[in-house]
Amino acid sequence: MSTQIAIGFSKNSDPVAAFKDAAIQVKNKLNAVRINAALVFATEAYMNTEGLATLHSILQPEHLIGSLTPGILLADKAETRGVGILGIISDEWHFGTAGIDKLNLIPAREAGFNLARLLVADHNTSNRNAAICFYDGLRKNNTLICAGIRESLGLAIPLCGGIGLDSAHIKYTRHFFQTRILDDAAVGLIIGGASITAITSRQNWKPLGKPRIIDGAKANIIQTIDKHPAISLYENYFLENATTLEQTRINDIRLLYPLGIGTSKAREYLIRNPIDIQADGSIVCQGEIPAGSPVHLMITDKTACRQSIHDAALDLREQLLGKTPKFVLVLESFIRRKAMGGIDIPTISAIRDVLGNTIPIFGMYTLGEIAPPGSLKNVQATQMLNASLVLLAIG
Amino acid sequence: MPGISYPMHPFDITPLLLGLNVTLIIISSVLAYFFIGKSEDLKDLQSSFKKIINSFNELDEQAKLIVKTDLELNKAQEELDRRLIGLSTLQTLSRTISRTLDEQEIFRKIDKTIATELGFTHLLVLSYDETNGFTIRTNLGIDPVKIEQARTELGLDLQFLSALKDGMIFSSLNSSQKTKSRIIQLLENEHFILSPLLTQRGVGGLLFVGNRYSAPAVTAGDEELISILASQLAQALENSQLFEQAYHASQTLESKVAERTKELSMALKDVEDISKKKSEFISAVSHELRTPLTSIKGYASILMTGKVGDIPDAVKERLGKINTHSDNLVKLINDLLDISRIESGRVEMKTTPHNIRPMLDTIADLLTPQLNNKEISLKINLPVEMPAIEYDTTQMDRVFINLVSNAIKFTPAGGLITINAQLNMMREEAIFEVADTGIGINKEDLQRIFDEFYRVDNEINLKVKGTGLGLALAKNIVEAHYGHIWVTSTVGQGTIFHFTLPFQHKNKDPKQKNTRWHP
Repeated sequence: MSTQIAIGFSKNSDPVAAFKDAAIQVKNKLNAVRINAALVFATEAYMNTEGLATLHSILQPEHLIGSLTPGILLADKAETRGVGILGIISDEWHFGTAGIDKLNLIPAREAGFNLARLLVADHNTSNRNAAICFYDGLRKNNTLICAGIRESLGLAIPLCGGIGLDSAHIKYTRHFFQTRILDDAAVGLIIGGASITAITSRQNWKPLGKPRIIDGAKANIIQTIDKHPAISLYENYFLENATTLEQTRINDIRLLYPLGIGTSKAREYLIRNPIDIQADGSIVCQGEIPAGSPVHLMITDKTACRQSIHDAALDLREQLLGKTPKFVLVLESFIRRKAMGGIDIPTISAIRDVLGNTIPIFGMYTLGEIAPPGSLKNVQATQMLNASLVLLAIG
Repeated sequence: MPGISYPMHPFDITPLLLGLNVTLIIISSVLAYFFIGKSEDLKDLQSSFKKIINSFNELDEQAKLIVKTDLELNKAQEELDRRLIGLSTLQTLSRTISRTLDEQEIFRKIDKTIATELGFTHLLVLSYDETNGFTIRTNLGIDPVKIEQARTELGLDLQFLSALKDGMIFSSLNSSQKTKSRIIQLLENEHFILSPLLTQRGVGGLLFVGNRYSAPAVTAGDEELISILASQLAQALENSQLFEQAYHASQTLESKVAERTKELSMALKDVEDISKKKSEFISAVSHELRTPLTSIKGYASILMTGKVGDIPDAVKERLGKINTHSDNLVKLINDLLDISRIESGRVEMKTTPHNIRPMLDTIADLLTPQLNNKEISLKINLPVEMPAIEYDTTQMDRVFINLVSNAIKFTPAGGLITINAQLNMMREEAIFEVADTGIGINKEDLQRIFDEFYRVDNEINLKVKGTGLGLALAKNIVEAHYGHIWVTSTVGQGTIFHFTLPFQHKNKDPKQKNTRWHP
């Protein structure tokens, strides 16, 4: 009984050649005719159908999902250009994959429910260790997709995932599913048969200024804060030297200073990235907004980010109870990367410092993260997070 | 005294009222006291609330300061990141373009990735020369119609060209509003940097990078990066142009060398043909001369014997001279014939391994009378372990006799002639020297000493007749044995003839014969 993991990466300027290079690296390490599962992360220029076909001809994966990302995290570096492949062969683990597109035609909750149903059907066994999902990040209320998945999959199944995006322009997302590249889609991989699963998530944001009250909210849209249009929160802090928010680089501002919503259930603030501003001044977020909650503008710094990585790695180690995982999947918000000044190494090195230098690390930068808040013990509260770091270890 | 009396009501309520009044007063007092106290609390509460509100507002003001500082820090960090990425991109590009000398390849390297990593979406490179004006080399994202318009317009703008020549960088950051508007109108990029590509010959082109309207404005750092890129690009282009020139020059030179080599080969062939004809002529003439000379010499000998009748002494004496001159002539003809045969390869060397000592002793015996006549000593120094050497005895005999006879001829009485031999085991050859203590040879004559019929112009040669063929013959014989011969001399001190002879001739390439060689 064995499980082997291999990671290949290439940033060859020819996307097809890059897929070929990365796939050959995986094949050479695994030395197998075909592999059981593949996880593929690629940056914008590498979302290439011909390249994907090349991967299939070399590795012949039974199950394959993946996502577009602005950056790929590897064991010794982070790359903002290229394609990375994590290949798995195992005679003890079993997998199921599913993908659905045209999400805009289906209610969000139903879309999530359908995806999970297909996943379970493909997996065809009740032994489920964890599910990994990626879905479109520009859909207005993503919380409901996550909720739909959990409803169908079961609230106790560890679920993590992310929302990929283009090179930080936040214009579109794309996903790999088997031999296809899907737009406006959700894809998932379910893993069973593993002996250990650990998930941890951390955010590192601190409240700024006085608390205000969300007095008007509907689903994922904040309409009013302190009886003023929601955008007035940003205007209050950033309009000092500008007459319009456009002049203040609002796109950067809303990412660097997300909203922190106080909830009675959690000690930490629920972080929400504004993804759109409507004409009436309402702020559109990626997830559900509880009306009547206090809200703050949030801020972070490099030290806090680094500390949260260290904390997350320690928590993961604690959950592993001394066992060594086969690989660690890292899903890190690209906003954290921005907050850390675009320096990628601390994330990887902090994980390696705690978990050891030999564990394969594979990850991507995300626009949103799906995970239980904090530790796996909060699995029942799994939800869409923003501006966070998520680590998944399976062994 | 009658007192004032008040009629008593059967139900006198005065005490009750009084009591009520007192009670009311007490309650009012208590209430007043209580309300006064509460009012104080309320005031305190209101004051505290105001303080909290003020604190919150202060907190918000502080938050504003924090975000302002944080934004500035972020901006600075972004600028720093951009500079770092830009510098790293430049470093990579610099390494890449410095490795190529192909102009097209250099332009191909300036691609979308470079522009993106430098933070720009549009890029244009134009090369420039005075004859053709601006030529498009790389274009990323700019409308070709616009470029054509810009190319023509800017190519004719002498003021603009002069500014480029002076190294002026135009940008949306520092150019005048007029220039800025013009460039924006020409190339449709609101945020731009335009830098000249300056070579030693002047303006070699221009590099333009830009972003459309929603992008952040260019910074001084961007300007600096683009000017570095422009200078690296210009340097690479200059190198490629110099390489191109050098390549063309070398091609021209090579073709000239090939042409001259062909001419020289033809000339050499002519010389060889002439030399061959000369040898054939000498051979033919020598044959034709030798036959009648043999007859002349024969008849002169018969006449001298007196068999055909007595002859007077005076006639005898003249017949003797005829005989002597005929001998000289025969020797001359034989030498000429030998040289001719050796040169044309018609003489096959009958080489076998020999111990050279006996041959040298015989030569010493043979020349003893001449040595004795001039009281010259001859010494032969051979290594103890002298190996056998492969040579043709007849021909090698002639070499030593020629060299030693020459030495006797030019060495004054009482002099010394030495025959030395050394061994070069690495090359498997012997090096012989025939050294004398004679008059020596001038430097100019050394160059031609082995030429046929060349005789050094000196007193001895004026007195003693010779053919000028001896050394030429010796040279031909040595070279026919895969050896080399050369001479060193100091005027007034003596001359040394050196020559080499390989121990064996097997594995020797016949082409090595007659190869010109000097130590």
